[in-house]
Amino acid sequence: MSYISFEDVTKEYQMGGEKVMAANHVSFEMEQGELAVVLGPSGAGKTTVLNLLGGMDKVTSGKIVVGGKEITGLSGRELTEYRRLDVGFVFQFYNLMPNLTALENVELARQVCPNALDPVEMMRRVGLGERMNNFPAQLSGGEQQRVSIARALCKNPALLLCDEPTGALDSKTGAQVLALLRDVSQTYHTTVAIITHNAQIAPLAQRLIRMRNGQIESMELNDHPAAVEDISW
Amino acid sequence: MVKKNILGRKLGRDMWKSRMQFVAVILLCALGSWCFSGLDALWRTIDLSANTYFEEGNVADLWVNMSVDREALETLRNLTDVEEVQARFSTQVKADLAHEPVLQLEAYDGAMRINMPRMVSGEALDPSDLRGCLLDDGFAQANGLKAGDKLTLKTDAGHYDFWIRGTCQSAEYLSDNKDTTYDPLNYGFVLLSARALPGMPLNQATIILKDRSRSDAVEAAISAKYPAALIVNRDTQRSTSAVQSDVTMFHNLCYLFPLMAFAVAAMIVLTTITRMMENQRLQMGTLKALGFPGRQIRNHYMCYALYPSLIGSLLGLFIGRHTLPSILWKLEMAHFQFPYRLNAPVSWSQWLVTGLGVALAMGICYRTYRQSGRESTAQLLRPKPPKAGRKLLLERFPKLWSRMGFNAKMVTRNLMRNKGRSITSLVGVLCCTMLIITSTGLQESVAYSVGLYYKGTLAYSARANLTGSVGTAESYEKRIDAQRVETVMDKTVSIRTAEKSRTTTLTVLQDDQQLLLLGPDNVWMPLPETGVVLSQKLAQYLNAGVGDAVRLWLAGDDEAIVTTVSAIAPIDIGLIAFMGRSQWEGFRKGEFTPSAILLLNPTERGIETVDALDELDSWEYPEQQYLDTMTVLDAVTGVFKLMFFIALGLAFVMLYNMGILNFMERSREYATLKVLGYHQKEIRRLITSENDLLTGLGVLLGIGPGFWLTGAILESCASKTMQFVPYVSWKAVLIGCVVTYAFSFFVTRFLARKVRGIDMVAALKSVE
Repeated sequence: MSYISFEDVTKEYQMGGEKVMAANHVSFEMEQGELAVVLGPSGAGKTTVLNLLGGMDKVTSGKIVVGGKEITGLSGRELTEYRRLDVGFVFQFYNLMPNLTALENVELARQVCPNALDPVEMMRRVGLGERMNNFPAQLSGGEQQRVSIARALCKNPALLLCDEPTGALDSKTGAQVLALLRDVSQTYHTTVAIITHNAQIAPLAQRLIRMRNGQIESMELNDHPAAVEDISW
Repeated sequence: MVKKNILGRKLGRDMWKSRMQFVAVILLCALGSWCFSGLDALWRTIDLSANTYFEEGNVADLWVNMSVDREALETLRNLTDVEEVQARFSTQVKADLAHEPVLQLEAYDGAMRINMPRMVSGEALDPSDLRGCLLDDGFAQANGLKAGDKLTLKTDAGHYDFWIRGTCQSAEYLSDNKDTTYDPLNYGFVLLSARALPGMPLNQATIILKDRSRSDAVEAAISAKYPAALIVNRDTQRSTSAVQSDVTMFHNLCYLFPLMAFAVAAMIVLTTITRMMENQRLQMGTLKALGFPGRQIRNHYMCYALYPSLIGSLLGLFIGRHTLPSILWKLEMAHFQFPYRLNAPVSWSQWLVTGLGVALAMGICYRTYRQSGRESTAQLLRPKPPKAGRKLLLERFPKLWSRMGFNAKMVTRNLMRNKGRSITSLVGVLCCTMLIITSTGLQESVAYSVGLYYKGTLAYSARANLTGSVGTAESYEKRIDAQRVETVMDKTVSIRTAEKSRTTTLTVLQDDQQLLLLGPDNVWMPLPETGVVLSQKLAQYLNAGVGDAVRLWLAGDDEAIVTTVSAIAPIDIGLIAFMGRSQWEGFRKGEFTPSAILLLNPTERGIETVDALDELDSWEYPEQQYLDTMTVLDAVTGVFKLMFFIALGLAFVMLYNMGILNFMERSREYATLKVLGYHQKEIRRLITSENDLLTGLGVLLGIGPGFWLTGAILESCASKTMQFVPYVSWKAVLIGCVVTYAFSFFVTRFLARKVRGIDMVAALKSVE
């Protein structure tokens, strides 16, 4: 059985008087340690999929299984536990606490996660060993995103969800971040899901899921993903 | 095509979206101006009503107690600055009714020109009417008398029958002359023609001055001419001085507390508007980018401040003017008998405070707009860059810093990083604690001060006032069964220093008296063998200190008693002078004739003995006097109670508003924590510990200023006859601290519950 399994998942939102089908009978799978890219234009439903996968939203119908555990039936408290122990998030705009230093932002994860890794080691791992005591405002966008990744990794999650992780970065910095994510997937055997509208990132994926209008348009497996150095945008 | 007012629609929808903030601004502006305009309207209403009443009744400026013959009348009339003089016979008599009520009799020489009554029923009195009288309307009603009834007056000289021609009110008797509270059953006044009482001497001249500010000069001239005359002016006459005292008190109460409340409200309004404007930053940039002219954008945003502050301030002004004076006027009626209430027009100071509320809100709105306006459109379209983080001073002590828990570090950083927000919250909590402690302390101080005198200084259980032929002090001591019996003699005297004079009461006490505790902290103090003891307020009025020379003029005496001030008794209620019996007798100004018996724990038999005395006039009980005085001060304590509720309202609106603003600004951070897997309880703990810390600190820092403000307000509202001693008990401090903390506690917990509703998905989206 796959590590992640989406089975005929739908998600409806009530927008005023109208119902919007953000995810329309979505089904796909992901294997553990895989780096998957969910690609699609704006409004395709990819963020909805990520929210559902991350336990931040509930399905209207269908089933989601992660690591053999069905998360669609979990209570609010159980979902929090799931996010706490199993999932790491990387946001487009980093979402760092502005009044905590880079290291303290990473330590934030350790506060809630019993199996957390060493924050200092994580900071070194993302190449910010020298910037640990800087505040977010003193870091560049790429550095902030690396802190965000370090914070997510510190929890030692089985699943790393990244929503447009390079969306706010230039291509060079973006490439560094992607390299890091790939490294994480390979080194820690973490399943990494990258949500993006940037098709240039697609060759990096071991699994590429294309979405459009709330539905899966296609799903491709790539046994020979491209090196980060080979892509540019 | 009709041009739609899109910005107007935006304004309306923005206001609806942030309705709680707008409502808070309206409430705060209303509270700020309500308190001031209400109290300002109250004193102006009392002042206008009283002055109009005094003018209508042509109330005298001076009452000169002396023998007034034709020559004296002419002399007084010819004094510079004197406009009109009228002589009359003034005394107290008893009405021949079962309970023998006391009437102040005023027999006018000729037609009533000064201190004219206001007719309520019947007809005015003709000066040639020798059988008619006008009776106090309140007294008549309480005793079932009316125009046409017969009234018999009992004097030492005999019984006189009069027909009541009409009932009336008198501005001269606006305040009851005998008792602390209005007691029309037992006390009133009767007016008649002096010709109806042949043989009675004219013993009082009432004077109207051309210029009231020249009162001191005229008094000095009268004293020079007639040294034995006892002069009462508007500062000392019971009705005029009581009105003056209340007007001064309420006038002064308008300032410190209401303006402090206004300042707190203004601070929160300014913070709220600033933050609301800052939240509009991106939209401001969008409007600029769309090509809206700067003036139009500015006017649009100025409306954010204009509408709520204008609505709030005007609401406060008009509600304040129409609620507070009505409520407090009723309480004032406990000791004033106004025939009408004249509402004073809106004063410039009320407009000023109202305008100030609007101007401050508009000013801060303009300043915030200008700050944003300086940035380019492109800058405005980007989110504001976060503040650069900085190490705290505390972090320079690594041992201490490293011992702190992660949450404690986070809370400390949050507080220090958002200094403006933290300081505003801290000052807000501090001020609310201060205002609650002050309003409670003020109520306590009134009760304490009155109690200090009636339950402390007056150590006797009852006082029997005597009249007519009285016995000797020794005879009463022997006959009356009580733990202790003492007699006192009250004399009306004019006490004069080189600078000032005051007609007041000289109380002559037995040399070994024990029942008046004149020392500090109500400790017994032996009466000095020489000199007089002045009450604190009298000493202040005369500007006299220990060792200063004073002259005491008795009515009708040609020679003054010359002595010195030997001590000042810390009595804050009343203008009284004290002297020992031996010293009095040494001055040879008459025998010691008791005017009252003071009794400590009398037995039933002792009371019966006093009741059986023909010379018994009335009983006074300090316990009852305490209650009566508290009733008279109902309006003042009412104001203090009102201040308490204002402080509560302010605390609630302030804490809720600051709390919700802080929460909204940080909801993104809380959402991030939620996404990271923080339980709601853990996020709530972060929120509450930060707020609890700020509140705790603010509450502690508010205690000292609460004491200070209580003292300052009491000092500012002291009248010429009464000074309240600041007294803030631990109970008041506890109420201030607990109420503020409880408000904050519940508001924080209420807001913390909102964590559940934070949309985590939004945290993953753009910064905006």
